[in-house]
Amino acid sequence: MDLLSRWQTPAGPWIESPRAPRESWATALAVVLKCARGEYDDSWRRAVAWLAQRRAWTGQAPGWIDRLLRRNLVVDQDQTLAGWPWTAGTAGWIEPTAHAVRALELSLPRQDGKELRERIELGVRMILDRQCRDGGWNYGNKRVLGEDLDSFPECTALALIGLCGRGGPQVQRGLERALADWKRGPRGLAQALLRIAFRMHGVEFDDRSVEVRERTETTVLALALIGEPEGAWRQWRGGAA
Amino acid sequence: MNRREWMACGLAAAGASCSRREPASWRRKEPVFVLRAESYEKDLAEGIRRALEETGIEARGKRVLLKPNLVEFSRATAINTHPVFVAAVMETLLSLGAAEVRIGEGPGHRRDTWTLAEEAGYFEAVPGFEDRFTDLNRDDVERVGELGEWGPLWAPRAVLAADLVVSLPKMKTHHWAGATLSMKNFFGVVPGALYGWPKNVLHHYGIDRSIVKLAEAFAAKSVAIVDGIVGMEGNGPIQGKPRTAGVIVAGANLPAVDATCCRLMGVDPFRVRSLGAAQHLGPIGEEWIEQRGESPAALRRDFELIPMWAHLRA
Repeated sequence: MDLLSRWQTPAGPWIESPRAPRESWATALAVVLKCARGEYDDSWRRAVAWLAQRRAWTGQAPGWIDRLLRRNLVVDQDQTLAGWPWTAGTAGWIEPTAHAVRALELSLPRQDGKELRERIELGVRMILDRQCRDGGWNYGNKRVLGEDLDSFPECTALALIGLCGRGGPQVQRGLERALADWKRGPRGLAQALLRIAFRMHGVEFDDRSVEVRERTETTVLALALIGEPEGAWRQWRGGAA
Repeated sequence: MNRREWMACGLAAAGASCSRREPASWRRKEPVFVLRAESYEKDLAEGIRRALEETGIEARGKRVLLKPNLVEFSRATAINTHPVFVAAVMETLLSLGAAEVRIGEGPGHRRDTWTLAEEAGYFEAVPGFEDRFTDLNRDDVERVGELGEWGPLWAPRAVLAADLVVSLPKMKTHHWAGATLSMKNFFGVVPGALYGWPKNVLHHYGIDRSIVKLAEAFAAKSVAIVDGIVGMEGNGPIQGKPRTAGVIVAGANLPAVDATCCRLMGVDPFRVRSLGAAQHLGPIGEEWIEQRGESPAALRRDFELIPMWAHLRA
């Protein structure tokens, strides 16, 4: 927590590291952590304000050159739906958007407002728009140059975490895809995230603990603990379910 | 400039990038070795040793980092540098007296590099892989340059600490860049922890500009050994089809190696924008490349090109 306080900038976002002092996508995770700890302080307020105004680059409606060159077929998605980017000024992608949506939803009970709700809804629409044909999600491109792209189980889990508390046919398809992925025995990050997504959505599944090896990354270890039956996934979910 | 704008401008600038003029400063030909290699089953190490000798690549006493192309995994196609190929390069360099051989990669789409490497067969094929591998997406970083308005360019310490970086790309066509070879392979050096999955800053900065920028940062201490035994044609780097080319291509000058690979794929290197823009780093004209081993013309296999890159055909 000391590190959390030292790496936040006055404007609200956290930096990547002292070596790379740039506004970080991980600010959303810091907000989630603060909400989980009940720290609704000035630091949290500044971070939420920064996160709410952060928008990914969005495309423009295709002009005559686009139509002539059939460039609108390059990536098949609604380019006007602003998610959250990895880095400032770039396009929106599933993971930073899912984390931002969750962070802002967890903040709603203490800072409700029309603008915040609209920002969340825009992020949710972006996530739904990027759903792959197979029902899951990848990093955020569902179809390129007329060809469908496959989903990745870890990204499907992240999208479902972002969609926590929501229903509807698209979410249901996503959960079905996640269950199909689970049956194939995912390991590492995918396994850890899928467990959390299932628990957040109240889905029954054949749980298996994440295998820990010497090389297992800290991130995966942390997520494995969060996804235990009594783990912190409840705080990540908040009152959404 | 974003990716789409860059692509549109690229068409307008096609004439310029098709220029066959090369800097007059090339005073010697750059050697590039082409070896016929029909499969991953045969003794690759001997061929790779010969390639290193023929191109004057020295490894003795050096700390070497191998940079394969590890992107996604699918049993249905050939996306990644074959793990047997990586193992053969590693064993050859160690036998030639390299002080250390490490392997590093930072995939642009998959978050879990270790699991990806396992799925792709690296643990099974590369002895001691777990101890040799660094996930470049999560390594400590140093600032090595600028990406214009997009801010600093950071690079992993594992790459900066190496005396010799060996780019080990898969020979592929690429739907945004035309071709992906030893220079484009450096996209995997950019740390995902800072730039994300995908490393979208490189697209907004401009894919071709990024290829050249990264080559400028790393080419001086880099060499290339290209896995062209089975490459990928069409809608690469992920959704293309496997294409047997049956070659290994090696050299100490990256543009020269990539230009030779283009010729082997039936692509005019002068029409590949990033290569056209990297001529200050090395020659791409045949008159400045000393082809050793097999003749590229004799082994040419025209890789399928998607319609937007049809004009690349030599």
